[in-house]
Amino acid sequence: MDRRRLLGPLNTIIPNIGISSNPNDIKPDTTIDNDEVSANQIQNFFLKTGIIENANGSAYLEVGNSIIEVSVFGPRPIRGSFVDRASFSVECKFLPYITQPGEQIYNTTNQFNNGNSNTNANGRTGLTTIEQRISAYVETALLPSIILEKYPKSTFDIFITIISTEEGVNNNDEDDDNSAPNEQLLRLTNWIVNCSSVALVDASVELKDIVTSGIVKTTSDGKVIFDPRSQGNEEEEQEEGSVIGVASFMNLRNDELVGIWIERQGAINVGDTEMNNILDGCNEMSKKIRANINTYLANSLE
Amino acid sequence: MILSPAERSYLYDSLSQKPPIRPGARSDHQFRPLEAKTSFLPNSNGSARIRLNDGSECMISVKSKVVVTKSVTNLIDVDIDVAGFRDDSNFVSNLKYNLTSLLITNFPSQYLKLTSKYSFKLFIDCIVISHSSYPLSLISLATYLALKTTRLPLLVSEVNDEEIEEQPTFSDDWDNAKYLDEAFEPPIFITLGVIGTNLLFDPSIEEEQVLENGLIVSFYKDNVITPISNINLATNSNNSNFKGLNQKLIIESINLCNKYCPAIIKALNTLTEQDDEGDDDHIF
Amino acid sequence: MSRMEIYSPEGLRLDGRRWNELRRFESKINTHPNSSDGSSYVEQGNTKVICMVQGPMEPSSRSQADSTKATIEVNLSVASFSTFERKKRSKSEKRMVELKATLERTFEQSVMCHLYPRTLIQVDVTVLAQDGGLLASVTNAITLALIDAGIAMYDYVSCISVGLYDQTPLLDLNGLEEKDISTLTIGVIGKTEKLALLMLEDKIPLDNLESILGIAIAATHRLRDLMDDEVRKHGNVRASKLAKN
Repeated sequence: MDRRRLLGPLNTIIPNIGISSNPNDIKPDTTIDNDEVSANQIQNFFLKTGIIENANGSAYLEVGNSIIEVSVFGPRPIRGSFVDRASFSVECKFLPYITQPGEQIYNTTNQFNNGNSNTNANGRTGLTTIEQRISAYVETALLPSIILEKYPKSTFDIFITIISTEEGVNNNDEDDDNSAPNEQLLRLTNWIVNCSSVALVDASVELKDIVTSGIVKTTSDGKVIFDPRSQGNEEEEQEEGSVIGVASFMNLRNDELVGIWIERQGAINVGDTEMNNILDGCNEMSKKIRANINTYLANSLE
Repeated sequence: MILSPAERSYLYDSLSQKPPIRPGARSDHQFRPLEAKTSFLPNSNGSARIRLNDGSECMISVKSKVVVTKSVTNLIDVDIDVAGFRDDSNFVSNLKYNLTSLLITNFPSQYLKLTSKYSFKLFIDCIVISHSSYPLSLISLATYLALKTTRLPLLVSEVNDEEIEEQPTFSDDWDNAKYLDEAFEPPIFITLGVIGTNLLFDPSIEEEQVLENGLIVSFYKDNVITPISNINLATNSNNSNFKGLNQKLIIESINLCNKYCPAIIKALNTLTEQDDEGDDDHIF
Repeated sequence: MSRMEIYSPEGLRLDGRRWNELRRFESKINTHPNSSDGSSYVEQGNTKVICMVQGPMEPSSRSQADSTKATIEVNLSVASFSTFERKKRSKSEKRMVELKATLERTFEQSVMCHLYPRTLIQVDVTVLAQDGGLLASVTNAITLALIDAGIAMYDYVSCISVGLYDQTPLLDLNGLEEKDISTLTIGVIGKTEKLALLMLEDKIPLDNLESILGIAIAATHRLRDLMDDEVRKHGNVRASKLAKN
């Protein structure tokens, strides 16, 4: 990568971020009140910024078994014609040994290449269909938050790496069920958005607001589950008719909805109340995550 | 095709009126007129072609193959080819993801079951010959027509082949072939543009450039279903209008789709019936 | 019948044709008036091809601009459902690349490229169904689409495939025949005997070449007439529309 052009003006102020790598100094973000109702409690997650020196900003997030790493490059100059606003791109990749949720269904075209799902016809590693879908969601969700007008003639690139998923490494059990991957994918996407927002803050990109997202599942009997988890797999075996949705918000800007992705299991329609439940639930959860992220960022400034 | 800042501002203002003033004098829930043709590929079980006035055109072929049910993970395989785009580009991958996700979760697989061991697997191939606006709803409407006119050969061997080692055999007479199901109405996608508090069905390329956000809503059996997601349709502009949307608009979009989509389905059904009567196999 | 008989002693082929008979040839021009500058649709037997021409236009990259003549770019895409067994084909496949290069070379010679300096003529071909004679149908479709686009050419390029069975040349092979015997595809300019294209993917004995070329050239002249009829028919329709207004 050409880093030679990245020199900023001489009077740059370097924001006071980044903490020592001494493990004793790092405290996991477990600021959730323990008295809260457990149904509405979100999973504990570990977050850290500034881990990649090469990038302008980066964030690392661990939640459950999932590990996500995001690096932000930019503003970088673009060659060629003049543009008055920065361009923005997102690329999400799974590490090659990780089973992607639903890869048997969606990554079919790539399977012709000797089963190596990450290599395309040229032998180059391109993004799979699932990776492209996540990238598109994150891009759509973060795009409204960045003040692109401030950066003419430049580009922002976000690179997301999934280091580990809930499923763990190459879990090849013959699970013929089609809908569970969707849920897993949405859970992952939810945390990817949260992590990417923090990485953008770490890169000191000018933002309108920090985008945070939440995930909610409603069952056919009208129950609303916050932040559904995979742990209880044996009890939540394939409920027909449950709807799961991720929604991302800019909470300081009137709870503007910037990203929505709703999937379900079993053939049912989506009603008004159900939709409201999902969106309100996601909003509430996004606020909690937002509070967590705020605390973390405030602490790291001290 | 790309609008100038002045044109953009004019279009933005007229589209954010209540009710919106759309180019082409369409009302907010009106689709662009389309022209379609079905069953023109003798080599495929079902085929359809849809063309819009602006030259956008999409062709679908549905081919079937007999497979051992246990050996495959899904009975529907979708492939999309868009002229001018690489197969692994973000654009094509997302079209493919959306269509696959829609069909896999909603396609009644009992229609494809042959015997206790064997099933049909459907290969849905889609070629977008040219397009200007986001082609997802165009593709899904064409897929609707292709699936609606898909015919599968008639099984003449035993349905219960648990004990038998033989493969299924079919009637040689193509006239005996059956439609998937007379009453079957495949799921479709609707793209909606968001501008101010207005929701615009089937935005054209000019409208897309000034949109504040976009929604993809799916519709099946007279109801809005999932997947529902939002999308940036304004990729041709420099995203200057792109912003978040109000939560209420999602609910409103569902209500609008519930209200107007049955008319779309009805129009498509009439189209297949008329096409059945006309006896020519020519594409054009 | 233990083995399929390519050419019966009675002089009949698999599909009942004689050795010198063409398959049904149908063509249409101006099929996509709203999305391209010139378009055509060709059916030769069960082979079906759509062709669209854009241009002459300004090339998107400067490397494609030649200051003395137009650049012709052919994009050939073969639908994965075009054969009986569905098969996904990649554009970088060796045979596809070779066909593309052959077509580009042919039309660079037959189009008056010097009249359109610094421009690009983009030809997009989609093969919907194939049953032998792919290159021939594609070439005929491109010719018609270029004419529809109003691009100056020296004359029609009409193209046909011929095979050799024992000593007998067989005209316009279908898919089954093409699998079994060696095939020569030629493209002829107008009613001359000038070859714009000649492609042989296997072998043919030299002594038989003359008889093969003879019948093939006669066939291309016939095809040229058929295509010309279609173009004139379309021209008359357009002219009558103009007269009405």
